[in-house]
Amino acid sequence: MEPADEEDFAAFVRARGDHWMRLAELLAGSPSEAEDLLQASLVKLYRAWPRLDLATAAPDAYMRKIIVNTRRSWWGSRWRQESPVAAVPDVADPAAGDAADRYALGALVRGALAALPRQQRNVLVLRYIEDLPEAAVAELLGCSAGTVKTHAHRGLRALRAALGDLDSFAVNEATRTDGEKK
Amino acid sequence: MREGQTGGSDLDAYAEAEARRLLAAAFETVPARPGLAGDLIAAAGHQGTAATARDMVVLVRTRTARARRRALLPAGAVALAAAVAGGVTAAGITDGGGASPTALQAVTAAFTKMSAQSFTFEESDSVSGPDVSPIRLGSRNGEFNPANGIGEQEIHYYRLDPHVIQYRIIGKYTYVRNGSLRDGKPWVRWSNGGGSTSSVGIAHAEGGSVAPINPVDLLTALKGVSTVRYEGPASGTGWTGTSYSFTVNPSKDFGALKVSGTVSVDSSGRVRKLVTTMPAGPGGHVTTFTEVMTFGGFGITVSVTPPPLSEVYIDK
Repeated sequence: MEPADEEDFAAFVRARGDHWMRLAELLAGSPSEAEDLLQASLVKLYRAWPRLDLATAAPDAYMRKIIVNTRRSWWGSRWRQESPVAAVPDVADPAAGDAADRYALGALVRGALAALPRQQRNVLVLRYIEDLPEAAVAELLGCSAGTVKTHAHRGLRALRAALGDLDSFAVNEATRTDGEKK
Repeated sequence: MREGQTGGSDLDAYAEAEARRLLAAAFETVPARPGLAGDLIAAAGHQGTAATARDMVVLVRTRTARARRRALLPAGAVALAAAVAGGVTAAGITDGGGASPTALQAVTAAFTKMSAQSFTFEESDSVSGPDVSPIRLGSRNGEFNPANGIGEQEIHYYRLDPHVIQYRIIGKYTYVRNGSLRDGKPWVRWSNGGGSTSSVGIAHAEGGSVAPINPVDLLTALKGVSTVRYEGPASGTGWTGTSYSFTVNPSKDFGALKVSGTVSVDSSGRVRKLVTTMPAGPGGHVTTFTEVMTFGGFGITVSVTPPPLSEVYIDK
């Protein structure tokens, strides 16, 4: 690799490594698996870096595809330390809205997310963190947009079931108009 | 939530907003993981300083090199062995000669011989450099019978999250135990991909199989070998023999990364030691990844039993 490419790659990892580490943890379900997933994905991105057309697509787009595909191919045949949270941890007054409660909520959601079937987890992460449209998620995952919708619906329903009544978390959310809670 | 039409269901705006809020909290509060940064700092040989781009690239290249080597190792030696057996020299491979004109054949024959009998193995991975203290990355040990695909091994990871993983390979299945529970069970069973239990290295570059070292793959791995050269006598505990060096061709897929190593063959024509090194690092900052594999216990009886089914989670 040319020195300029190497520096560009390093700059990308410095700037976006934290983002992809977090995403990897949500996709993988555990910190150690996330590190392996991230490392394997970075290796692939590094190898492909000189051939990437960065004028038409940002490195993030390539990284997203790589990390999803790596996980899909890797985790299908490899068991890692997936340890879904068996019990929902106690949360101190989630309505308080301070940083500690946000961390508690985050931990709660990560635990519930880790327990979801893989594709539901993938869809929730790609739709609501990466903010990809359904069509883009469908292309990444190799399924139809309808399937993405189904996974999103079921995943969120399962998430809510695992988290319990979250109305107390919604202090700052807009008031619902229909009163429907599920 | 409203149930959707055929083929899917629509989330209403509230549900979508809730999803974003929950997932955002999950994402933003992921604890900082010192592992990658810690490794970068350790690789640079400094404490308390931020990893430079050079350090990062060195580390990524080191791991890339390891991953590439693992992809390389299984690729080609079977072809090589077949070519030699068929009396045809594999294209692009030169016999470095030296004291003996049959260096290539000797190495190939040794791997071929291994593929016909059971053996024990040990492996140790490390990274080092002029300003990087040697760092032991991991190790593994086990036994394997390539003839029937039966074997077992333990892999010890020393970095990031130190832990041990046990494997039992029985034909088309691998059973893995890593200290965690899956649905309350300590073992997970998965099917070995491609109908083969073979894989080299602690973590295969592209796939997920971590089956024990299979000499068939080691043979296949020499596909990109450019030179095999006689080096001189070699010896180890209970054996004496000959050492050969090899280098691997740079390729379009793997870039200019230079993979090289030595193979030690005992007087009975069996591979005793395989050392692979990959220098990495831009400019003068050189880090070397080294993997040392030793083999012995040839012809032992390898007997592995699957764990009780009640303790096994079957991964589909």
